[in-house]
Parts: sequence; structure tokens; C-alpha cells
Amino acid sequence: MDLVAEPHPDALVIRVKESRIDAAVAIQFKDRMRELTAPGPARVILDLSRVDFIDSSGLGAIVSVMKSLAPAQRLELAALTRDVGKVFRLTRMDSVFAIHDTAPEPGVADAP
Amino acid sequence: MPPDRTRPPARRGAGGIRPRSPRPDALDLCLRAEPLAVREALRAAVACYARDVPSETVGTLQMALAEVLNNIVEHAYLDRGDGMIELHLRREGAALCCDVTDRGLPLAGLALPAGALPPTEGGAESLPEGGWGWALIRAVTTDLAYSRCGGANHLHFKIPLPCDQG
Repeated sequence: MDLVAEPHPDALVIRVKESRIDAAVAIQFKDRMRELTAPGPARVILDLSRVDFIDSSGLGAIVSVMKSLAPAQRLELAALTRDVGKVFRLTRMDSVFAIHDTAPEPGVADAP
Repeated sequence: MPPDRTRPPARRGAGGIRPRSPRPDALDLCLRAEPLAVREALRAAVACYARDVPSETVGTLQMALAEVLNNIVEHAYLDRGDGMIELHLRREGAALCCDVTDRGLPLAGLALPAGALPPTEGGAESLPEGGWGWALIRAVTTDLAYSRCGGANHLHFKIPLPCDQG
């Protein structure tokens, strides 16, 4: 599961470099997310701009990651594609997460 | 519909998928009940309609079919990975018609689940991590029907095409 963590001044941005979060990779996704969020950044933004498909197992994995964070941490989502956004709306999970239209641009990490 | 269409992209498959359909707007597959084979079958279904059906409808088909196939993998065959699933897709009038057959365990009570959404109230700790499958299926399909016959489960549903595509 190709996930890349990018430290930004106000958040850890995790970019999903895969087109699907489905039943075949849900467990790897959870494990990798737990590794990346373990250092404890207060704010984690999951960039889903490259993900064009998610099933209920993938959605469950994202919820599971959110629940496994420390109380002082929060998980936000960014750049949902059409079909991914539809799954969040139909399950009403769009009311559970803060969802941003776009993900933070790369490179901001180097800003002073 | 364009008068002259070539066949959709190749439907070869891993995971025990055997494509058998002679029609370009139909797909008949037999796949092993395990997640990677499901993924391949979904790709084949998307490829089958990518040219002639609006991509939003193809996305809806993929969503419903994924939940149906995942349910069979997990609940009919209990994640053993040794069962087979037959999938028949065709375009019929103003809808994509789907028939799925497996020989795993029957649905509880031999009936379709109600498909209510799991509750989201009560704080992060109690949020559901699953249980959305039938709600998603019911939200986007029509003509949903289930039967158990001769040790096999049969599920039928349709995904309506936009009005101007009928």
C-alpha cells in the first residue's frame, strides 16, 4: 500500500498513491496508516485525490484509523473524487469527517 | 449508440476469471470468491461499459457490484477463498442488468437484509466500521431480488441508465 507522509507546518499530509482502497488492501491500509500516524501529529490530512474507488471495507478502514488515533489527534480528508464522495454521502460518513475540497499543495513543508 | 464498435478492452483475468461473453455489451464471468479476483471482475465490468455508458453510471455499477461480491466473499464463503461466483451483466433497455450466483451459505432468513444504515450518533468511539454494504446496494439499484434454489444463491438487480441513454 503506497502511502506517503509529508510533514506540513500545521498538519501531517498523507497522500494515497493508489487508485483503490478496497477489501483487498483494507488491512494493509490500516496498518500503514497506524505506522505513519504513530508519531502523534495533532492533525492528519488524508489526500484521496488519486483514489477513484472505495468500497465499504475501505471506508471501514478509514473509520478504524480515525478511531485508533490518540484523543489529541484528528483525521481529516481531502480531495474526494466523484465516486469516493458518493460512498461517503450515501453512508452519511461525510458528516463524521472534516472534508476539504482540495489537498494541501506539496512543497509547503519547506516554507519557513 | 455508435454504429460500429470494437470489442471492449480485453477481459482476461487473474484469480480464476473466465470471460465467456460473445456480446460486447454483456459480460459473463466465473471468478474465485476472494478479494483480488473481485477487483479483477470489477475492472472487467467497468471496461465493458466504459465506452458506451456514462462514467457516473459505470461508477454506480462498480459500487453496487463491489458490495454484492464482497458480501459473498465474506458471508457466503466466510473468507475461505475456495468458492466460485458467477456474474452475468448485460445491457437491457434503460438499465444494466446484473445476475450473481454463488453456492455458499444462504442469506439469513433466506431474505434480503433491510439495509438500514448503521447509526453514526454517539461519538467517535462507537462509529461503525462496516455494515454499509446493503444500504449502498439498496440506495443505487432497482429490481433487487434474491432467491435460494438447489443450494445456490441468486441475486438480481438493475442499475438504471440516465434517461437519454435508454
